[in-house]
Amino acid sequence: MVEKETGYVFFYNKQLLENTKPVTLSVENMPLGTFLQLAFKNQPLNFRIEGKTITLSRKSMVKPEETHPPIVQADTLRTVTGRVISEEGEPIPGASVLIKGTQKGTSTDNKGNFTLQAVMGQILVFTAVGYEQTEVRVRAFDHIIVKMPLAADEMKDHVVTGIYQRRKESFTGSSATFTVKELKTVSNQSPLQAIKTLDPSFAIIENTEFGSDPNRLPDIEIRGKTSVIGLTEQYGTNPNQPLFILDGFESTLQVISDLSMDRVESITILKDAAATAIYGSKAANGVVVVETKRPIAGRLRLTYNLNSTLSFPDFSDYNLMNAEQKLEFEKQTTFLGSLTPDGNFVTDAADAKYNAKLAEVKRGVNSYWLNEPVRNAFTQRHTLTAEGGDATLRYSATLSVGENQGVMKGSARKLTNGNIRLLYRKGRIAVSNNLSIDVVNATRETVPFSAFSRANPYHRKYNATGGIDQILEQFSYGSLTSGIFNEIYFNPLYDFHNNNLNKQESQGFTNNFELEWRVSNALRARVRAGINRIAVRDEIFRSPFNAEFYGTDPLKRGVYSEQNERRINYDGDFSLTYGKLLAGKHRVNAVVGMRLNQVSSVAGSYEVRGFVGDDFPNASFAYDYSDVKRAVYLESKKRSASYFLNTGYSFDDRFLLDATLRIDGASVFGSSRQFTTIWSMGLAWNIHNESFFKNNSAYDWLSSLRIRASVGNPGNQNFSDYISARVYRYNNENRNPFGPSVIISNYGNPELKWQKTLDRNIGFDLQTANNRVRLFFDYFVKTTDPLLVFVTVPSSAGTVSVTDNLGGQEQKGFTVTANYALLQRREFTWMINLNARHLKSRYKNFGNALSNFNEKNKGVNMTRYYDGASPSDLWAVPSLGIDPATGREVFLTKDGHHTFVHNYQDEVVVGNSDPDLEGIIGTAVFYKGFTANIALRYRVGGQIFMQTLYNKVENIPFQMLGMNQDKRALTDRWQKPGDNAKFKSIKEITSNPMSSRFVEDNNVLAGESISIGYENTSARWIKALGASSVTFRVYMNDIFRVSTVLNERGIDYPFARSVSFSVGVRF
Amino acid sequence: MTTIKITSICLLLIASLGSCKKWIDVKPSDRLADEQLFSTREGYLSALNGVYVELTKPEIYGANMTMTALDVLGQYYYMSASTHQFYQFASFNYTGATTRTVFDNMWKKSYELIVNCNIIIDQCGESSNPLLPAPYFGIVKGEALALRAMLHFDMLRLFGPIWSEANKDVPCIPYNKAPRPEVTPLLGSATIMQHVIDDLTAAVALLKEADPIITEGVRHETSSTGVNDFYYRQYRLNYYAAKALLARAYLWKQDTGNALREAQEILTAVMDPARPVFKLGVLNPAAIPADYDHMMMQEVLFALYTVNRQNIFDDFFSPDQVATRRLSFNNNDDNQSRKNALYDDQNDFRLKAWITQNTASGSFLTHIKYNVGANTPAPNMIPLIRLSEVILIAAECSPTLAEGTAYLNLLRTGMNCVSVAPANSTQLKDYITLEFRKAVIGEGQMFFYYKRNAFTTVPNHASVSGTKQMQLSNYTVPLPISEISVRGN
Repeated sequence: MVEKETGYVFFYNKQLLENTKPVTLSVENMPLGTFLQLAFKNQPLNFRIEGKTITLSRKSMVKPEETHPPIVQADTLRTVTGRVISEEGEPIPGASVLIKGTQKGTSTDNKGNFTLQAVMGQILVFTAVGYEQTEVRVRAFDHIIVKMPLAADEMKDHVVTGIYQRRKESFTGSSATFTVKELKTVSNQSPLQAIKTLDPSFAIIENTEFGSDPNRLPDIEIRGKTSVIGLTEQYGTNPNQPLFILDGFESTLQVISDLSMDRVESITILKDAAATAIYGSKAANGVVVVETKRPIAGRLRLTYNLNSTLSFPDFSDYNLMNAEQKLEFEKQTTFLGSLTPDGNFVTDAADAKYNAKLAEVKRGVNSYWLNEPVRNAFTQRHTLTAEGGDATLRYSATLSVGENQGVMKGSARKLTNGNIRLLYRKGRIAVSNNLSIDVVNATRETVPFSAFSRANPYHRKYNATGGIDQILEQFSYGSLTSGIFNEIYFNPLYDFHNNNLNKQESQGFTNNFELEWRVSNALRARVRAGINRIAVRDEIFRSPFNAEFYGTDPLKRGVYSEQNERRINYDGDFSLTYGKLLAGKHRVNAVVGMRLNQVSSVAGSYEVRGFVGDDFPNASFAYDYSDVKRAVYLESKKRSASYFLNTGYSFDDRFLLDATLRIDGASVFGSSRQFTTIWSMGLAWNIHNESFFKNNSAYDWLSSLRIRASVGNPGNQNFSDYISARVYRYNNENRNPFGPSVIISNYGNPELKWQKTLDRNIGFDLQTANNRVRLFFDYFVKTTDPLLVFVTVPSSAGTVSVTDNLGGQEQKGFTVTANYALLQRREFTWMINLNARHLKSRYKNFGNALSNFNEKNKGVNMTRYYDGASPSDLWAVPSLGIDPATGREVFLTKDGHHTFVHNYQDEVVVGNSDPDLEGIIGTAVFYKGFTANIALRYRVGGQIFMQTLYNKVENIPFQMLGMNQDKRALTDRWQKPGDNAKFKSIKEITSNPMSSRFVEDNNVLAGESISIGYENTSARWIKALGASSVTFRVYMNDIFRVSTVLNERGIDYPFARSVSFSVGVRF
Repeated sequence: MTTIKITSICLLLIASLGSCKKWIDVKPSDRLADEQLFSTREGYLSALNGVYVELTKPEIYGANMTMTALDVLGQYYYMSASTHQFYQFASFNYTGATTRTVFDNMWKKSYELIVNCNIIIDQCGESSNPLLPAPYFGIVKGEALALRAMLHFDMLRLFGPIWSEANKDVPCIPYNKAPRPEVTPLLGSATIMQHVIDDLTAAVALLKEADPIITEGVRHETSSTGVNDFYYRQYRLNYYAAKALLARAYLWKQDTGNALREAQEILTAVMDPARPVFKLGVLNPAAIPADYDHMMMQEVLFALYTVNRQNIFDDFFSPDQVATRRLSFNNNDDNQSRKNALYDDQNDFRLKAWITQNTASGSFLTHIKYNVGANTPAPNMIPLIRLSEVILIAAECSPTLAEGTAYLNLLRTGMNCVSVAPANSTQLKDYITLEFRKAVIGEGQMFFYYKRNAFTTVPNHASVSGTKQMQLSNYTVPLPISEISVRGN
C-alpha cells in the first residue's frame, strides 16, 4: 500500500513480521515519516527511511523487565560500544543487536555504531537484512567490531572476483553471479552444465566424438575463442579455456567439473576486461570464480543432499541399415562379387556367399548391436555437511560420495571428497583454513562404441551354444592383379568380454590458508597460502585375446601400460584492501597485492607386452618391455609472479570508475620478455540514481538502468612450458669417442611476446519496477593481435614450424539475457526468459604463414586459415550436385563454369559452423514452495559439415563396405542414368573431395533442462521429521533434440538423455 | 601508526619485485637449456659433437647421402625391377612419394644441423676467451664453420643447378647463417659458393692455428687421459679436410687454379714421406676379406663415426637382404660383368671389397666395404673425404697432360694398379672418371662428379653393362615440398 502510494520500497526479513499485528489506518496527505511512526507504534519493529527504501528492523524492547526478570544485576552492567560492518568494511546501519536469551537490545545507527548495556560473558546476536546472523560473546568492554558475512541470497548483489568483492551496484565490469539455488533449478549434475543454461556467454562445445562420456572434460569457452583453433594439439593445452578460481585460488577444469553441486555457494563469471584484468595474463578467455559454502554459526546443524540421475543412451541420430538392407547394399556395391547387367552374380562363389547370408536374413537374423555396450546408467551423489560454531570459531565438515556412471558399460567415475573448513575471527584478526581431500576413481569403456555401430546386422551375436565367437566371418577377395585381401570381421562383444582395463586413480590434497588483519576500519591486509598436491595413476591393459592382436607374435600379444604423475602447486597471495566512503558521496575502493605461483609436475610411464592370459592385468605377467614405446620421464616446472592494483571510485553511486593494472611474469615466456603489463578501465553510469530520474514520475516504471563500458588487454597463458626456451637433448642413440653429444630438441623463441587480447565491451542493465522485466545486454569486440601461433616456415630455417607472434583474430558478438514476469500474484509468479549469443570472428595478417595447415586440412576438414575469413568458415568447392546422366559430381569453378574436375583452387566459403544465434528460451513458474522450470536450447543459422554423409554414405572404401553404414548409402545414391540422386554412384568406392554437397543448414531445438522442484521449511511433517527444511527436485536433461540434419553424434561414446532428482534435508 | 604499517608493507612489496625476476627464471630439469650448455667448455664440445653424431643419421650421411640414394643416383647399382626400394632414384623420378620424402628429409636434417652449427658459431664469439681458450676456440668454431659450409655445399650440389656462367645467379637454395630458425632468401649458386668458400677459408684459418693434426697427425687412438678432444682427427673436420673441401668447392665453380693450389698444398703437407699424415694403400694387405682394410683408412681425410655400421651392410648389401632392398652390381646373382668393366687392374686393392658370398639360396656378388669383421680396422668409419679425391682434383686441374698423368699414376700406384699413359686430355679425363668411380663407391660423391661435368652419358641402371643417356635436367633435384609450399615463390 505504502509502496504504491509513495514509490518507497520496504526492505525486511519475513521473520520480522511474525510477531506483528495488523494495523488499519486511514490518513491522507500525511508525511511518510509521521505515518509510519503511527503505524509502527505498537509493533515490535523499527523503521528507517533511506533514499527510497524503508528498512524494518526488530525494535529493542524498552521494558523487557516486565515479562522477563533480569538475568544479571544492574550494577554489573557495563556499556558496550561497537560497530557493525560488512566484509568489505562498509558500515551496516539498522542492524539489530540483541543480547541472547533476552529481549534486550538496540540497533545500529547510520554509521553502523551501537551502544548497549551488557554483562561480560553474554552473547550478542546481530541480525541485519541481507546478512547472516552473527553472534559475538562479550569479553571486554572496549569497542567491538562485528563483521557480518553476506547471506547466501545476497551474493547476487555482489561480484566476487576471488581477489576482492565489490557491490554490483558500484562495479563497472560485465559479470554474472549464480547462487547454488539458481544453478540447481536447471541441473544437479555439474555446476558447469548449469551455467551453460543460465548464461549465454558460457558455452560447452558439443563433443560429437565422445558424447556424454563422464570421463571426458568438457570443452568450455566464454565469449568464443581468442586463439587460433585447430592448433590445440600443438599447444599442448586448450588455449581457449577460461581460468578457474576456486575459493580464491587457481584451479583446474577437472576439479570444478568434479565438484559436488551441494558444496557450491555461488559461481561468478567474469567476462569483460574490467572484470577479468585482475587475473592479468591468464584472463583473456574469461574467468569462472567458484565460492564454496562457508560454515554458518549456530548449534550443530546437519544437511544431507542426494543427487541422483538416471541416464539412457540417445541413438536418435543413428540411421543404420538393417540386415536386409545391408545385404542388398553389399550386393549393389558389388562387394560380394561382380554383377552381370541383369543383376546376377558373375561367379557361383559370390552367388553362394550371397545366398548363405540371405538365408540367415530370412531366418530372421537382424542383430541390433547398438544396445550391447550400453546401459541405463544410474548416478548418485550423497553430500553430508555438519556445521556450526559461534562468532569466534565456525566450522564445517563435508563428506561427499558419489558414483557417476556412464551410459557405456564399464565407464564410471567415482568421486569422494572430504572437506573441513574452519573460520576463526577475533578482534582484528581473522583466520580461515580450508582442507580438501579428493579421491577419484575413473574407469573407461574398453571397446569404443563405433565398433558396435559398425558391426553387421546379419551376423549373429551369439553362436549356436550361446557363446561368443571372436570371428563373425572371414573370407578372401580380390584378384591376382589387385592382390588378395583377407577380410576378418571380429565380434566386438568378444573384446568387450575380455578382461580389458582402463582406469585412472587420483588422490588430491588441497589446503588453503587465509589470514586477514584489519589494520583499520578502512584498510585490511590479507595473506593467503595454498598448496595443492595430486597424484594420478593411469593403467591400461589390453587383453592378448583382443582382435587387435589377432595374428601377431604371441610374445607381443597383450599390452599393459602404467603412467604416474605427481603435481604440486604452491600459491601465495598478499593483498591490501582499502574501502571508504568519503564525504558521504565519494566511495573509494582499492586493492593492491601480489601473487606467486609455482606448478611443478613429474610424470613417468612405461609399457610392457606379451601376456599369455588376461586373468591378471599387471606388469609382472608380461614377457618384456615394449619395443615400440620407450619409457618416458617428464618433469616440468612453471612459475609466475604478479603484482596487481585495482581501484574503484564511485561518485554518489552515480558515476563509477574502475581501473586495474597488473604486472605479470611467467617462466613460460622468453627471458627477455618475462614480464608484461595488463591494464583495464571501466566506466558506468547508474542512471537510476540521478535526481532527474528519481524525481520524474515518468520513469517510475523503471527501477534500475545502468550503462557500462570497459576496455582492457587481458592475456593468455595456456601454452606449453618452455615455448620460449631453446632446449637441447642428449643424443644417446649413437656414441663416438668424443664424449657426450647434444642436439637441439626445441628451438623455442626467446623473443616471444605474450598473447594479449584487446577486449572492449559496452552494455546496459535494465530492470523495471517489481523486477517485472530484466534485461542485460553486452556487446563486445575482442581483438587478439598478434596471436601466438605455430608458424610454418620453409624447412631451410632449420625446422618446419616456429612459435611466433603473428596474425590476428577479431571477435565481435553480443549476448543478451531477458526475463519477463508474465504474472505476479501473491504467491504465484510466472516468468519467461530468453538468452542469446551471437559471435562472429575473422582472421587477419596471416599472409601465407599458415598455408601448410591449409594444405594439411585439404581432404581432412573444411577449416582454412585465410586473412579476412572466419575461423568457423567452412571452405569447399561449390557443388552443383550429381549429374543424372553420368552419376558424376558437377563443380562450379571460380569463374562460373561447370566442370567435372575438382580443384582446390575453386574453394570458397560454403558455410559457417557458428550459428547466427544460440541460446535458451525458457519459462519458470513459482507457486509457494513449488517451482517449475523449462529451458530449451535453440540454435538458428549456421551450417554443419555432414561427417556421416561424407564417411558413411559416400567415400566408403572397399574394405569398409563390409561394415554397417548409414541407410542413405543404399537409398540415396545414384544407381543408373536418369537418377536424380544427391550422392554418387553406389558402386563408387574411390574417395571424393569434400564439396559443398556435404554442408547443410544446422538448426537445433533441444530440451536442455526441464525441472520441477518443491521446497518447504514450515510444514508440520517436516518438523515431525526433526528437519528444518526439505527440498525436492526432478529434472529431465537433454530429453529431446530436434535438428534439421541427420548426422551421427557420439561416434565413440553415445550421448545420453537423463532424468534426475535431488533431495535436500537440513536438520 | 597506520601509515608506518602501510609504508613498511609497500616497501616489502617493492623489495620483492626485484627478487621475483630471478625466481620466475625456471630452467628445465629434464632437458638442457642453452644458457646452461654454453656455460662450460664441455658444453661447447658436446654441442659440436652433437652435430657429428647427427650426421650419421640414415636421413643424411648415415645412408641416403652416401651409399644408398645418392650412389643410386650415381648409377653404381643394377636395378631393373620397379619394385626396388631405390628404383625411383635410379630412374630420376623426383616426384614419387619415396624420392620426395627422402630428399625432403635430407634437406630438413641438413638445415637443422646448419642451424645447430650457427648457434655454436654464434656462441663462440669473435675470439678465444676464458671459457673457450686457445686451441679449443679454433677447433670448435673452425669445425662448426666447415660443417656449415659442407652441408650447404652438398645441398647446392644436390638441389642447385649445374654450375655455369648462365645460371650461376639463378636463386636456388638459401645460405642460412641465422642462429635461430629464420627464413632466409634463396640465393644464386655464385653467392652460395662465395659463402661456402668464405666459411671454409675462415675455418682453415682458425684450424691452422689450433688443429693438432698439423703437428701430431691423425692420432687414431684413444688418449691416455681418456679425453679425446684432440684425438681421432679423421672423425672431425680437421684442417686438411677443410682444405680438401675448399678444393672441392673451387673445382665446382670451375676455378681450377685455386682448386689445384689447395690440392697441391694438401698433398705436399700430408704426403711428406718423412712424416706422412695420410697415405695411400691398405693397412693390412694380407688380411682375410672380412678383416681387410677396404676403407683404406689411412687415406681418409674425414669420416663419420657410427657404432651401427654393420647395420648398413645388413640392410643394403648383405645377400640375406631381400632383392628389392639390396644394392648390387647385378640382378641379385653372381654376374661379374659390371664389376669387371669397372676395375681394369686385377691387383687393385679396391677390388678386394667385391666378393662372392655363398648362402643357402645361392652365390651372390657382394660389396663388403661396410661389413664389419672380427678384426676390421676402423669398424665405425663412414668416409666422406679421402686423399684419392684430392689427388684426382690435382690431376684434373693440372695445366699439362704430363702433370695430370703424374697425379693419376700416383693414385694408381698407391692402389696397386699399373701406371697408364693417356694420349690426350680426354683420355686422361676418362681415366680420372674411372678412378674416381672406384675410389668413392659407397660415399655419395659420384652423382656430384657427373653433375659437375654435365655428363650426358652415364652407366645404365637397368643393364649390367652399357650406358644410358642422361637428361641434364635430371641433375637438379627439385626443392622439397616442406620448403616451397611455405616459401610461395
